Formats: sequence, structure tokens, C-alpha cells
Amino acid sequence: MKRYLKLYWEFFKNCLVREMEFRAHFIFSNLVSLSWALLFILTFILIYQHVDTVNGWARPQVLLLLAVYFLADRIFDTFFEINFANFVSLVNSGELDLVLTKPASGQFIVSLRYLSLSFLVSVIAMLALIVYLIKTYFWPVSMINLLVFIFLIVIGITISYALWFMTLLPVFWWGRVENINHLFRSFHQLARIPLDLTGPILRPLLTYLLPLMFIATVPVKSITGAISWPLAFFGLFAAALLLWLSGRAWRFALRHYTSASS
Amino acid sequence: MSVISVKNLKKYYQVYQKEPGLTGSIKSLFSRRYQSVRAVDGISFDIEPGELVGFIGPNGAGKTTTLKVLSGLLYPTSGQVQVLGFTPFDRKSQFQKQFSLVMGQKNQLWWDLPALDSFILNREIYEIPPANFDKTLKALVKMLDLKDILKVQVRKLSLGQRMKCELVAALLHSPQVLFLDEPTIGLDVVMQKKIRDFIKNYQQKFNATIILTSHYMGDVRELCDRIIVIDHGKIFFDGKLNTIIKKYATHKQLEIIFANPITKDQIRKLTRAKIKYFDPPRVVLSVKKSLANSLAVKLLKNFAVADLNITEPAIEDIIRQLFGDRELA
Repeated sequence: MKRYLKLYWEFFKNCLVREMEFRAHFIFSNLVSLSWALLFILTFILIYQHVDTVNGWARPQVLLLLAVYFLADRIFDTFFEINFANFVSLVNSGELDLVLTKPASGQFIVSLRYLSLSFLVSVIAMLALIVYLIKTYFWPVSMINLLVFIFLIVIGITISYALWFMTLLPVFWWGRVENINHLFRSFHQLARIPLDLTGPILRPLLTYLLPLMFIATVPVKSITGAISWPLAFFGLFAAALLLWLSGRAWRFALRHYTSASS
Repeated sequence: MSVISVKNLKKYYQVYQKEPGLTGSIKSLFSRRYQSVRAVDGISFDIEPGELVGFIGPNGAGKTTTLKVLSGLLYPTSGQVQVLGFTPFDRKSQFQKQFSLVMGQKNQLWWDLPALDSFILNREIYEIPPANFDKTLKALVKMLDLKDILKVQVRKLSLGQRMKCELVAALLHSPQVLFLDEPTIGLDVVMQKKIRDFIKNYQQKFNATIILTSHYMGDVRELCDRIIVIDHGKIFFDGKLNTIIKKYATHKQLEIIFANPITKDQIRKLTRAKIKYFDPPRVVLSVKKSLANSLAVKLLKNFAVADLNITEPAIEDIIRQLFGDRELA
């Protein structure tokens, strides 16, 4: 564990040096990613000018949900998406060869090798928004609820990572499948609405089978203590299971790696 | 005990065949005919510690595929492979810390950063103790004469400088086993020679076991005592370089410097040997092995000869003869 932290620190320094070379890119891409989030939040503010509550979700809850969703999403983009976008070409060009000969987890390297600072401003903005919303509408919050809230956000990111990573693996069989890294995004975006509004069939599905519920809905509900302990533990279990499964799937997929002729 | 042991290794790929043109493409969307390509088809060999073995064969013969199986990148279709007592595909880190794969056409160095940054990253990945790292790096930098370029962005380096840095990156953890896939590709003659000398030097200094594939026969001739010739995924020859010359060289070369003017007809009258090169006074003939000596005597008797040499044909010629002018790689 300590070793991988050290390794990540090296990745981090490398990427920082590189990103700082491209200043215009840094500013522009941060602007774009922040506007995306703000525009979407604005849509909901407009909707809530006409309704007070949608099945128990009042404006503060929905805003918090959006802020949590975009925080998780932008953290995901910062650490993983840039690597996932590169994944298809890594496999097809055979550049994966040099990753796989290294005495460190290949999954770790392909998932975390690069880091993008294009979403940094959004991450900070969303954190600030979350703090503001909690202070204004939800305070006082018990320490335990606050910790569970943070813990569940981490669980949500882990679940997204594992599921998203697994959707990339068909590349080993199908070869050049451009945009396969966007396959999961449409499912992931479901998480930016309160998922407990879904009906009796979809709700258990999104809680237990494809636990997108944990990305934003469950953390937001936990801030007011509206989450049962078993559900929180199930989240932990699901994240651990999916992470383990993604490792197994990765190793299985590598058996079908054909490399590229050199 | 051998360092590398391969028994009846097979690696087949499934590729689909597409008929040409748009109709073919549309058809291929619905049904595809797959064909099994036998990249490596039942090869076996053992390599002892400290050997430097050359893999040669035409393009697509299965050399690189074999190296990739040995490196644990490809999962073999069947057969047993052991390197340093490990099964490569398990990709155990104890194994990975003891070998290195260098591919002339792929780079591990970070394009936008100085090579030194990539070296430091490898130090962390391979968990090399800092003292060892500094010592090895210093030695490698000296051997390859790299002092001034370590802090230059990799993309600003020449191809030769980059290849040297790639070698350093691959050798920092002092691997015992080294797989070099076309390490001199695209380099000029001087740089080829430097890399070649370095490999030889490294092998002697560290008693490393090395497998090398190369496009350039010069690499193989100068570096390898033993060669394995692969064609169509099968081993065609495995043994000393000299043996293949003796075994497959049916002809010898007679190089004559004549003292007086000479015509082709005069030579043809005397012998049916093939004239390979005719630019008087220098003439090169290709003669059946058994007839070489008697022909030399005849020439000396009949003409004024300034100089005469009987040589084995170049390894290039033999290999070319074996593979019928297919391109070597």
C-alpha cells in the first residue's frame, strides 16, 4: 500500500510538470468542465421555482445531490477518465506491453498513470458548494453522519471505478472499439437524479445489482441520518466485491491480449 | 540448470478474413470467417546462463511473439515455458524484477519529460534501493556516454540517444535476463556499432542471458554464438553460427585480383563457376565447395594472379538463400 502511494506520488509529480506546460489548455478546460456542472445545476434551480418538493426531495437536497454527483464525477475525471480514454489505444497499439512487464499491478498503472488537472477548479467549486449547502440547510449534522457521508462518497467513486473499468475490457476481444470509455458514462449519469424516485423494479436493481444509488443518492440521504446501517455496510461490501471482480476480469482479459505486431 | 526452457510452445491467433471492398465489409458485419494463424507452432529450446542467442527469420516468423510469451505478455495456446524458474504469464514481481524487454519500436520513456524522470519512476516501480540505483545509473551513463542528455526532454533527443536512454531505463534494475527486440532498428551504422558494443560489454560484465532479434545480420554475427532460425513459427535451425555456415553453405567464394587484363569469356572457358562480381582486376566467383581448391589451382596456373582468397559466403547470403529472398527481420 505504502509502495503504491509512493508510486502514485511519482506519477503525480510527472503529470504536474507536464500539465503546467500547457497553460491555455489548463484554463480553458477547467472553464468548460465547470460550466457544464453549473448549467445542469441551474436547470434544477429553475425547475424548483415551480415545485417545492418531488417525492420528498426538496430544493436543498437536490442541490446537494447534484453537488455530490459532480464532485464524484469530477474526481473521477481527474484521476481515471484520462487513463480510460487512453485505454483503447494502449491495448491496440501494443503499448500495454511495457506496462505489463513491470513488477507492479498493471491495473494500477493503466488506471492511474495519468492525472488531469482540467477538472481541478470544478472539484474545488463543488467542495465549496457542498460545504455551503450543508452549513446553510442541514447544519447541525452529527459527526457520525458527516463521516458516513464522506465515506459513502468514497464508496460511490470506488463503485463507479470498478464498473467503468470492467466496461473497457471487451477491447481485448473486439479490438478497436473507439469510445468504449463512454459506454458506462450514460449509466453513470443516471446517478445525478434522486434514484430512489425510481419504481419498485428499478430501485432494488440500482441498489444491489448495479449500485449506482451509492454515487450520490445514498450519501445525500445519509447526511440527515436517513440511511440504515445495513445499507451503508452493503455499500462497503459492494465496493469491495466490485473492485475485486474488476481485478479478476482484468487478469482474465489479459489472456486474450494479442499485443500488436512490432 | 537452464535459465530459459521452452517446450513445444504454440501460440495461435484468431483473425478474420475480409473480402475486399465495401461489399466485403458489409458481409463481414454479419458473418466473419475466422482463420487461425499459427504465429508460433511447437517450438522447443533451452538457454543456459550467460548465453547470447540470436533469433533470426523473416518478418512474421514468430520471433517477437516468442519473446512476448517469454516476457509474460502473451498467454500461450499450449506448451510449457519457464524463465528463471517462473511461468512468465503469472507475472510474479520476483520474476519481473529479474528480466527486461527492450523493443526498438516502442518506448517506455516519457516523451515530455527528461529521461532522468523516467529513470526515477522505474526506481520506484522496481523498488531499487537508492544507493544501487545511483551506482548502476552512473555505470550505465558512463558506458553509453550519456552524461549531458539526461536532463533534456526526451522528445528533443535523437533516435540514437533515445535508444540509449531506453536501454538505461531497461537495465537500471540489473536484470539477469534480457530480451532485445530489434534494438538497433533505424539507427545509423555508427550508432548500431555503439549499441552492439554496449550489449556485448554488458553481457560480459554481468553474465546476463540475452536473446536478441535483429534485422541486421551484423548484430547477430558480432554478438551471437548461437542462433535460432525461426520460420513459419517453427525452429528451422538451432546451433552455432559457424555450423549453419558449414551446413548450408554449398558454395565458397573465390576472390581474385588479376595482374593482367581479363575478360568474362576467358574465365568461362576455364570454369563453369558463377561470376558474382566482375570489375577487373577484381573478380568474385561462387564455386561449389568441393571444387574450390582445384579451381584455385587452375586459375593460378593459367593466369597471372596478384591475389587470391577463398572465403565462406556471408551469413546474409546463406540466410537469404534459405528463405528465398524473403525480407529478413
